[in-house]
Amino acid sequence: MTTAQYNQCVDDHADGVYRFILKNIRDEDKARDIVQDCFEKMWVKRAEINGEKARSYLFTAAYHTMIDAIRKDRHQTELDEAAFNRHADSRQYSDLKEVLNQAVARLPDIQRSVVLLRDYEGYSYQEIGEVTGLNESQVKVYIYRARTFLKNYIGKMDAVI
Amino acid sequence: MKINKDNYEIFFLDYHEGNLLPEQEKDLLSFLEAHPGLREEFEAFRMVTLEKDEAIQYPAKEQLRKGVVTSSNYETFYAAYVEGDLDEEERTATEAFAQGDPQRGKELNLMKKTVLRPDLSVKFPAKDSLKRQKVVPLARRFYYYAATAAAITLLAGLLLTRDAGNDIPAYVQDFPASGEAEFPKAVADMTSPVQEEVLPAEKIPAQLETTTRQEIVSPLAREQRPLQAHYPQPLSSGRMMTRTARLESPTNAIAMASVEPRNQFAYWSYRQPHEEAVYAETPASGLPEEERPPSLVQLAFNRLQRSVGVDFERVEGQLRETRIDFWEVAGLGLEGLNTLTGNHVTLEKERGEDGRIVQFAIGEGFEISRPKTPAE
Repeated sequence: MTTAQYNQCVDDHADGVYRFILKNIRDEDKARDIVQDCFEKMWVKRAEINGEKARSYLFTAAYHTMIDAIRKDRHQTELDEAAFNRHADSRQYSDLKEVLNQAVARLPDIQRSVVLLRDYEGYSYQEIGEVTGLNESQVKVYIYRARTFLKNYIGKMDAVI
Repeated sequence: MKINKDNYEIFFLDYHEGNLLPEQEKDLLSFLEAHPGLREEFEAFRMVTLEKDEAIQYPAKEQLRKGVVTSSNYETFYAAYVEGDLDEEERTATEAFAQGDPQRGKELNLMKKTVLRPDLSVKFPAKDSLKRQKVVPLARRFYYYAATAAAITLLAGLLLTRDAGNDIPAYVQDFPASGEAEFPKAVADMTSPVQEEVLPAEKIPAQLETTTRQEIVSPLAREQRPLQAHYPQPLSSGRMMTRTARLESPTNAIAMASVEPRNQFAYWSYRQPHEEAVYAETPASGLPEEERPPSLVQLAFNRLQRSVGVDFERVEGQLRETRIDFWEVAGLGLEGLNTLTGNHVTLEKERGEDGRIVQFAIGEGFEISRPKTPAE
């Protein structure tokens, strides 16, 4: 990968990776750090990376960097989730998008990641498997479970709205 | 085989499994009547046979079926429907299932709404900070700068000398530039690669007498350096040969002594049929533009242009349109160097309001800036 290809990769994928990470961890500063970290990794390994595979490498690096960060902050995240759950019922939902965002936030980490890669980036089951280290069947099962959860969640909130 | 006390167990088991012939069953029953003490054992064999319990059924049998949408597996079909994983038959079955009940239809619509859309207004806030510019390592920097200087020198030299070759004396225009037709037939039929032809005196320009007569130094030198002109001559093999014409005139010696050899002769090298360019020096400028053979400088340009991929015509045009300064030439040299080395060393410059360059940088390792004048 040349310097020009790397810089083109920044233009093409920095926003997508940032949205993917931000949607997963819901922390702008951490999302920004993770994006910078994975681009730094890509720059260091640019000699080994084919320009056509840059996007896949980038999301793979971003995913694993994010998982590491989540594990480090697991305790804090659980506290945040508990606080979120306490206040969730009293929230006012204005539209489907907001309800859906809340539902996505409540998905298990792996289900949220695969469904975001599927919907945001349009990845195939196989590509998602390469990014997350899962096989295609597992990816498919997680996506189906995530959709069922989202469907039931927004269905439940439908009455609230 | 006849039933007796040694083998009756085999008969008991076969009886309960239905493997005995009618005659053997009759013998077995007679044996039991004769030995009533074995009846209890005979009945015990009956209990070994297990009866299947039809009441036991797998509770989630529907989930195992394929291609059939049921109340227990419809969510999987709905998710697959949204994912586009169903074939036409399964899609139709899923839609039919959803239409069969309002609640099922509503759930299918909800499943369709689970497809997430990215918020494109969310952008990475410091994208430029991620970008990189190649930094030339210190050990290699000297090589790059030396190569850059060489490229600049070569380019500048070619640009400065390109037009000098067109300064050709008028008398050279009188020589046949190319083509066999202008040769005397007797000369054209010769097979020797170098032949001489005596030209008439009127071919020699008169002005040479007046302008250079005083420069004659040695009569001996005149004899050793006859005035000659070289002509291209095609051979049957497709190659070009050079023929030499000797200029015979009373002013021959004067002309020879006064004119620089590069302006006096026209040379054409041998060339292969597949080569488009004819190597030449001091082309006959009297010919039309399209028929004029390219100069060596022009050919060097062409060769260099093909090698490095830099459009020198465009470069020259830009230089003529703009004020040429050292940095412009340096930038062009660097462009060629990048192509040759495969690197991407960029050259940045900033101009002041008066058009003068106030800051100049190559890559991240070399930067020159000029302080602003009080007027700026």
